[in-house]
Parts: sequence; structure tokens; C-alpha cells
Amino acid sequence: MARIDLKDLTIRFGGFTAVDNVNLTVNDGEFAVYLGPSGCGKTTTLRAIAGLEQATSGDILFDGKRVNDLKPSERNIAMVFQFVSLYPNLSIAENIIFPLKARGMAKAEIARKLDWVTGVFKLGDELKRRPAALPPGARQKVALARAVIRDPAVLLLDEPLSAIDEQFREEMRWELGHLQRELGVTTIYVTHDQREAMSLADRIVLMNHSKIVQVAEPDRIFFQPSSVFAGQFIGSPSMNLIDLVPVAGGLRLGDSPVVLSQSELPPGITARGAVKLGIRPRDLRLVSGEGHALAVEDTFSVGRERFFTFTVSDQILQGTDHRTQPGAGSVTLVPEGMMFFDAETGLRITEAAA
Amino acid sequence: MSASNTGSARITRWVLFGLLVLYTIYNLGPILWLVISSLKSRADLFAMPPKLVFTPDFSGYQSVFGIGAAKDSAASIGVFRSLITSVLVSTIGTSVAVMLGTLAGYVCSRFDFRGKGDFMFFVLSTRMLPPVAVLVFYHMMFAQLGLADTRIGLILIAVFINVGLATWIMKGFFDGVPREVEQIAIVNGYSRMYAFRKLVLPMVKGGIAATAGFCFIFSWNEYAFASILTTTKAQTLPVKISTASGATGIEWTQICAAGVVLIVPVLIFFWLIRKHLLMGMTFGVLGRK
Ligand SMILES: Nc1ncnc2c1ncn2[C@@H]1O[C@H](COP(=O)(O)OP(=O)(O)O)[C@@H](O)[C@H]1O
Ligand SMILES: [Mg+2]
Repeated sequence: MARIDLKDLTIRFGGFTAVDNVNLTVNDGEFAVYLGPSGCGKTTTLRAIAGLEQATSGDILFDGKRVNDLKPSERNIAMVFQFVSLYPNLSIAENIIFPLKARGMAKAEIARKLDWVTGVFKLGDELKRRPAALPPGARQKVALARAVIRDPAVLLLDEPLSAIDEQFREEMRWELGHLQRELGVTTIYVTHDQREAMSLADRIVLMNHSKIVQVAEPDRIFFQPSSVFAGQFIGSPSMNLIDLVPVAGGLRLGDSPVVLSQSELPPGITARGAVKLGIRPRDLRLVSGEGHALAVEDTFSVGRERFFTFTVSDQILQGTDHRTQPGAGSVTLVPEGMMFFDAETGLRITEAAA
Repeated sequence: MSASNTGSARITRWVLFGLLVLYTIYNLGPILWLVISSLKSRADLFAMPPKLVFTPDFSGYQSVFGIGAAKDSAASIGVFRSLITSVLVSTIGTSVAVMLGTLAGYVCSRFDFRGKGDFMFFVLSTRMLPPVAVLVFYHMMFAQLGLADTRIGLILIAVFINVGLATWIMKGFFDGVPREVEQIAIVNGYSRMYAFRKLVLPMVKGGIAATAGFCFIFSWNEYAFASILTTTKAQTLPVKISTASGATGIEWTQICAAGVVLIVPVLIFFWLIRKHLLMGMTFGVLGRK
């Protein structure tokens, strides 16, 4: 078990900054999920924590001790990589006990641990087989088993489920979350899949362009995104974004007739520069003919979910509504769902700041 | 309509088949002739019209493999010694080149070092070099070093012409092995050397075999260097065949038998890797799963 601190961590490859001045604390036993688009520096950060990448500047601390100069093997971490990397010439059992062999652990102890871990991952029948004989999902289970068998202080998982079929992935995700709580091992999990992050994380570390954008619990990051990027990256379908146009008495939604009056806006917001409204599809409602409301253009269903679209300033916006009302043709906004962003910086305008 | 279609399709097929047969004869004819000639006695060889039915005469093969009386006969042109030279030069040269190429290929695949691009190009350029351009200088150098007409000298040449290619091919195979293979081991307290020997090398076994095959064929067939750098003692089989004449004139039977022996390893190698050849002979793809 360990607490991890990243202090002003920067990693450069030649002229390219892959990790830019990152500060983060991951608490003992926490399940932190690094989330962000491909290429934003998630893997590089994880590899630096493992000791496989050198920090250009800044510190990495385990339980308050600087580990920058420790070799990977001295950090007591276990890592699972995105692409399955089992040893094809070793059996499943030999693959799993691979980390224990290095430390010259007694045979009986190894057998006991192997027993435990194969029980956890239900791999009992596969032990004598070779990795090539297993489907990808089972192979990644073996990789996870190999990671946890050594009781690491920190578990580093780099998109471990991305190579697995959708259906099996759900199941693995659930098992993984369960196992992590049971072991209580500090875990950093990297993914670009926001749904995976939302379902696994104690806290989400949202990254973009080599920088941390926001660190928050899944609920909070969903309801209180700190920026347009956070708002749009998390949630599906994605958050709608509408330019607000200052008019007498308030702000108008783009080229639509809808005007948000002063009483519906955070205080002081009209005095600022350009502002955008963010609203999630779930915070849009279909109602029957209210004079000035936005007109629905299209409705469709995907499974049991109903979607509708409408247009503001030539942008097609999307809403979801579960309560079907026959004849409903207009869209209204749920006031609690409205979020305001500075059009320049993309940062959220909270009431306190506004 | 459909009947005439199938009719013309059938004609096309027969024409294509006929062309293939001609092409096969064109390619295999000389080899077949070589094999037949290698089994003929001197008298049968020059019989006019050529004999298709004759009593096989194995004296050519006996002298190539150094067995029986033919070896010591006056007619012997010393092909046996050349065979031994060829085998030694090719196997030792290949082993050394593949060993060096494997190590260098691994380093080039896994590490960045200053001038790596230049190094890789230089290594490959040794392979592009037309041997004839530098032969004179090799000849002088070898004479000075006492390497002229020695097997050791030819082994050095075999290493030289192959190590670059071996490095490139092996780098391709190592690139196909994820870096994570070593990194998992390193994270768990194993050394890189252990990871290389026990984990990575077994994963590129096929690649090493293919590389060895190519190197062997190249040094087995090598003619330019061997023809200039040897005179009598260390002649390889290809050189011997081209210069062979004995006390009784040109020994065609022995030359043909030696030619057959020269072809066999090439056939074996390509037969072994035929599956990979079908998938396309791109280095690095070869053998990857
Ligand atoms: N060894 C390296 N050399 C040069 N650039 C690298 C190296 N490793 C990663 N990068 C670059 O750093 C950026 C971040 O990579 P990575 O951390 O793998 O992103 P992510 O895991 O978020 O998709 C990418 O643009 C990648 O090309
Ligand atoms: Mg990545």
C-alpha cells in the first residue's frame, strides 16, 4: 500500500512535452482513473510512475519518499499493459508466478499464492496451457493475475481491457473493481473510455494535451465539469454547447428566439465577455407547444432511449427524454442543468467566480 | 451464350497451362540436364546424339564427397576440398554474422543512440556495395595480412557481407516483439540480459532461422570475393567449378556433380521457408504472428 504524489512532473521527448507540470496525489488504497483522449500523456505518466520513463523535471513520491532514482524493480509496483504481453513459451502457471520466481520465494509459498490467485480469476483449468491457446480476454486475466500475485504497493493498469470483447469487458470491469476493493491496493488505471472511468473510479484524473484538466469524483466531474473539455468529454451523448448572444434583458441562445433572463442567469454574467451555455441532452425536455420554445426537428429511438434533435445557429443539438408525450414539439431547458463557460478560456463560470 | 463463355474460358485455361509448362521447362530444363550430365561417364556425356538411357556413373559425386577411388585418381580436380571449404566458410561465417546481427539488431530495435540512423544506413550500405569495386584493395589487404587464399580470410568475408543484412532483418523481428516483454521482467526484478536471453530470443527463433538461411545462401553462392582472394588452397565450390580442369582436361562429370551439390542447400532452405514466402517476403513480417 502506498500513497503517490506527483510534484511538478514534466516529461519531454526531444522538443515534445508529453507530460506538462502535473501535480497529483493518489491516496493509499484509492482507485484513480486517468482519463483523456489518445496521445494526451496518460501512458507516459504511468510509465514514469513505474520507473520505465525518466522524469525530465519534478518528483515522484511513494509515501512521501522520492523514488525518481529507484529502479522499476525497487518500487514494488505491478503493471499491466494495454497490449497483452504474456510469454508465449511459458505456460499460464509459469507466466503467473513469473514475478515470484525473481525473488526466490519458497516453492510452497509460490504454490499457495498461485492457488489463491487462480481462484480469484477462475483460471484453474488453464494453468497448463500456453497463452496462444487462450482467447484475448482470458489472456488479460492472466496478465492481471500476474500483476496482483506479488502484493504490489501500487497497481498500474494501462487500458487493460481495451483488447477485450465488449461483453466480456463489462464482466471484467466489474471483477476488477471488486478485486481492487478487496485487496485495497492503490491503483492507477488508464483509459480513454469515459464510461469505463465513470464506473470504476474513486476519482477521475482528466487529462488533455499533456496537462491535468480536472481531478474529481465521477459524479462531481459529471455535474460540475470545470471546463468545456471536461463537460464534453464526459457523458454520452455529449454535452450541447450554445453561443449566448447579449440582448436587452438577458442572453439569447444563438440565433433562436429563446432569451435567458437575468433571473435565470448567474449574477454578473452579462457583464463578462463572450459566454457559452453547456447543457447535457438529459437536461432538455420535450413539451407540447409553448409559444417561443425551440422546435424539434427529428425524433428517433435507440433501444429504449428516445432522442430528439433541434438546431440553433446551424448546429444540430441533441436531447434525450424518457417521458414520452404525444404531440410534444418544443424543447425546454432544465434550469439546474445549465452550465456557463467563458468562451475564451473554456473554463466554467461558477456563481462565486462570476 | 453461357456455353461459348465456358468454351472460351476453357481455351484460356489451356493456353495458360501451356505457357506455364513452357516456362517450367525453360527453368527446370537446364537443372535437369545438369543432374543427368552429372551421372554420365565422359564417353556418354559427349555421345552424339545425346543419350537419354545410360548406365549411371557416380564417379563425379564420389570425387565431390571424397569417397572411393575417384578421389585420388589423376582426373580428380579437388572438388572435395572445395566442398569442405564452402561448408566451413558458409556455416562459420553465417553463425558469426547471425550472432553479431542478432545482438546489433536488438540494440538498434530497443535503444536510441547518437547516430543510429547513420549507423543503420552504413550497415546496410555494406550490402549494397558492388564487390568488384573494392576487390583490388581487398586483394592487396589480404596479401599483406597473409589472409590470401585462406579459409579464415573467406570466413571474414562471409561475416562482412552478411552481418549488415542480418542486423537489419533481426531488427525487424525484434521490432515485432513488444517492448513490454522486457519491461514486465524489469519491473519484476529480472535483468535486461535475462529478459533478452530467456524471453525475447525464444520469441524470435523463427526469425533467427530465416536470417541464418539467407546468410548461408548468400555466402554459399558468393563468388566475386572468393574468386579473387583465393588461388588454390581455399577455393570454394563455386570458384572451383568455374576454374576446374584436371590433368585430363575439363572434368565435366565432376563439375556437374558439384553443381548439383551446390544447388541442394538452396532448395532445402526455400522449401523450409516456403510458407513464409507465400505470405510475402517482407522482412520483419516474416515469421511474425
Ligand atoms: N518514447 C517516446 N518518444 C517520443 N515520443 C513519445 C514517446 N512516448 C510517447 N511519446 C509521445 O507522447 C505523447 C503521449 O503519449 P502517451 O503517453 O502514450 O499517450 P496516451 O497514453 O495518453 O495515449 C504521444 O504524442 C506520443 O507520441
Ligand atoms: Mg496510452
